[in-house]
Amino acid sequence: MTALLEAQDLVKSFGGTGRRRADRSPQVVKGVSISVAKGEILGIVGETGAGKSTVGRMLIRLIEPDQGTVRFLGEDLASMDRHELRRFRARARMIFQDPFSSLDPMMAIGNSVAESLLLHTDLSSEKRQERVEDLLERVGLNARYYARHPHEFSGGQLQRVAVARAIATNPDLVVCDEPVAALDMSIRAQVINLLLSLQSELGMAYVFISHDLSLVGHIAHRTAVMYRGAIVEQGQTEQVFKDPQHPYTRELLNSVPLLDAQLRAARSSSRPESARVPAPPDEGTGCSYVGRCPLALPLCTQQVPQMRTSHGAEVACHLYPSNKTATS
Amino acid sequence: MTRPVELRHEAPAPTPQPLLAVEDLRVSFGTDVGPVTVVDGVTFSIQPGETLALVGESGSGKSVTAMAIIGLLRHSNGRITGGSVRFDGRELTTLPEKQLRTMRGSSISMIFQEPRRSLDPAFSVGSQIAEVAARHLDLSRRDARRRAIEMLDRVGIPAAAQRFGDYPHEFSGGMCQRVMLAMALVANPRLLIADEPTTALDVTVQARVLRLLGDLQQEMGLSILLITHDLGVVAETCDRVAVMYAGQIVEEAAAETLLRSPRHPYSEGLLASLPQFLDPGQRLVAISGSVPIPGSWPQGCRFHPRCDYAVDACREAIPELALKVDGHHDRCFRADELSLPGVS
Amino acid sequence: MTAIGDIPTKLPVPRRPERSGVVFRLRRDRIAMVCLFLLVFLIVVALFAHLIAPQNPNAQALTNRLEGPSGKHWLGTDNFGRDLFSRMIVACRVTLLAVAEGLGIAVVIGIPTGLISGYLGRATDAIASRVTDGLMAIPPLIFAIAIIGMLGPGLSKAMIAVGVVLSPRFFRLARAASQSVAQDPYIEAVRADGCSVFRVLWRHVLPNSSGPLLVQTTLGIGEVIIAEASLSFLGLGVQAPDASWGSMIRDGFDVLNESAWSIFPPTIAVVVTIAASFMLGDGLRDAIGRKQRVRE
Repeated sequence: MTALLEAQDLVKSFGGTGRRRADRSPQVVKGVSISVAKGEILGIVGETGAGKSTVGRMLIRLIEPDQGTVRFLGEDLASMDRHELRRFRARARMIFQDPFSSLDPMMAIGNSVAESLLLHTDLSSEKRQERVEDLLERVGLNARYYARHPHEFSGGQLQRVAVARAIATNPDLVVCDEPVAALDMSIRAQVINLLLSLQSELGMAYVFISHDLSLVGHIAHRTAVMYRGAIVEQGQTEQVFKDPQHPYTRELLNSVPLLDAQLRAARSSSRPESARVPAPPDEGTGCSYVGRCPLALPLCTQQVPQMRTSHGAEVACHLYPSNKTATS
Repeated sequence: MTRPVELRHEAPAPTPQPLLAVEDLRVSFGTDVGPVTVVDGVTFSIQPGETLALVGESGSGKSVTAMAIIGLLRHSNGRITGGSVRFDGRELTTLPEKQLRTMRGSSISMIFQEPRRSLDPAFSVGSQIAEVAARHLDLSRRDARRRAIEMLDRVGIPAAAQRFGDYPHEFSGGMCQRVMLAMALVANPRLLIADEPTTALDVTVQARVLRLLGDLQQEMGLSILLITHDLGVVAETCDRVAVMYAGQIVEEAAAETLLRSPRHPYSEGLLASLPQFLDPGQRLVAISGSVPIPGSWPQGCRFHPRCDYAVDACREAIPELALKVDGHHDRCFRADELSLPGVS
Repeated sequence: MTAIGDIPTKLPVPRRPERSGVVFRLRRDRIAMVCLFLLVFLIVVALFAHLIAPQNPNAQALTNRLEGPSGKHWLGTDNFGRDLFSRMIVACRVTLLAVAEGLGIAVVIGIPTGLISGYLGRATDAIASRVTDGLMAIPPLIFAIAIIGMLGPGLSKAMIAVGVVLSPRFFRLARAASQSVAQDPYIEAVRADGCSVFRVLWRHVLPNSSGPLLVQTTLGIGEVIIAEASLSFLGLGVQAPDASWGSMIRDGFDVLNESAWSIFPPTIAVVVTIAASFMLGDGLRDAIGRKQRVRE
């Protein structure tokens, strides 16, 4: 099965024009390889500094990777000319985190959605308006709201507009960058349900970026866990959450506050051993998690672990035997 | 300076004198369209050594309630228009600013959501903590400095003595929050108000900071008013919880009890809308509609337009917050007949 | 000292259905509205100047020089016996046309280059900014005189000079506005949509930068009038027998020892117009500034 979108060894660093080693900025994304299949929901989780938003943007070429390739249905994005890229943009869309600032405040929301149609279709302006009204209804908004401006809406409503804009061109893939993080709790479920029902209706794939583990655990088919620019573990969601292989994944899962008293009592590893600040991550050679890792081996400070398989998931950790030959 | 240490898990029997007693508190803000009520008759109390969570979404009035308690509304265009706030028997709403200022830091302290924005970027973190210590504990500069370093260490900052002179921008978010805690607790207050202290933090950092908070509470016999929207945090750290909606408290109970068997439909809705771990594919249960903004609250029960269980009576009158079952208050006409599901 | 953190001084107020917040707020600002009407009034006068002027502004009558206001000449006569009232009206047209020209050139040069420079950044911005810095380093009046020296005297050419001299200010403002807007998430969103750079600038950056640019343009009216008046005063702007308010001030100045009256009408006209434009600019700035949406 050809993957819908396939990224290999993406690397990105920002800023830092100095020649000297000390001036060169650290890499925000350090060799990420990831793929999304048709109709699949891929979750990317991680904390601040993990680089997940940057990866999301590189997947749809909003940011150019310093190294690495991204292929859409087999075709390398870097080799696309302007027109092909334009067509790609109709098929791969994005929803942003802050609903209040991801829509042009000077434009009526209907026009913001219509802009997508203007850019990618040949529809006449009446037909565009019709379709936008249709889309607004579909995401649960009254078509009358077409002419209103963003400041007249709540966060949840604006995010629905963003969804309408994203699906306007019948895309194959939508990258959702923390789509509900800025919304009130009681609204989040509404928007998530909308995304899920549209997904099953239209067969789109999602790349769902979030720091909310329970949310990703609930809706993603496959999940990738990122730490400081690298994927540390990825696999089927149920697998990753039930039987995490990487120590960071375990720390992450253990940190999530649980509502259920019994689950809390049954938690395998104890919650943070210490309340003290953990050692800063190692930016030198070796695994960047080594400072916090309770199971670190001497090898961990010397060599960056490559991806290997363990219990059905892919893990970047020296604790598990590499499936490459000794000459790697 | 030792204080009677009270173990968190032993919920203290209600003493005749709660540490903090808020009664029928009302707060209004002046706006272009006239005064708008934001907090509408809030009543709750906190015992010494207890942690009470005030849970609500934006627009519920929880942060404003906290500000009102500690008297920080004077810096905005909000005014307390009714009710009382008694701390250790003393009425705070009528206290002159000068006396309130003495209390802040030494009796009641507050920490906020954005730790970096709460620290003065022009001064070192150590000097900010020392300033609080010197002021409230009447210490010399040297002693204040020593106490500040002690405090930095106590909140888990490694190499505290060296980091005394560092500036806020040199710390990460989680560490700034620890510095805030140090500042808030250096003068041994009896009550800490924490307004969404970990919302802006990563989940692993949050876990450590909450653990720290728990440790400090045990050591110092602190009472905590924790304002949050995260029910998970409530479950892990709080003794009791009060849920706020549209300026009112709609339910109040022991944390365990409310999570297991909520009595108000809003609480039920909040619990049901959370993605339970490993229950994949199922639609989340969403509360329809949206939170009403102050100034446009519906008639009758403020939650009724969104409530699955609403009947005619709900449109006509606002239910009272009443003690129905042992230690469990709710504000719903139908609470007794409904049997709402909670967390497993 | 307890740290004062995020004190919620703002409140989610029920939103009123305002169609255009800026216009609404501007309408409530009495002073700004008065200024606006005044300027509109002057524009109307300028448009119909030749129809309104009761007498021939250039008709000389040397026997009636430097008379004060009378029934025949409402504002008296000037050094050559010409009716001051009619001259004022025609000069209004000349002056406002000059303003339109000067301001127009400044805007056309400064704003597009500023917007593009601020948005694209890097090399484009570096070059454009250095050029602009260079322009701004030259004293404006001297620069204008130099350009006129090249092009020859005359109102139009003087206004070209003024426009060029004023353009760096618009460049800087447009650049700053563009840089700030370029950071906004919705720009990233429309780029992800597939918007071309031109469309982004025209449909998204420009409308969202319009606030400060509009204010600066309004203030620019006053500045160009001053510039024109100065140049005409120096004899480098409007040439006789045409008159602008600036040249009329010059004429009045020349005969101060004989009559103190004729300098007043044009001076007052210039001062009032400049004040009106500045106050309108202020009012606009306030109206736009408060448009920020109040939310938690």
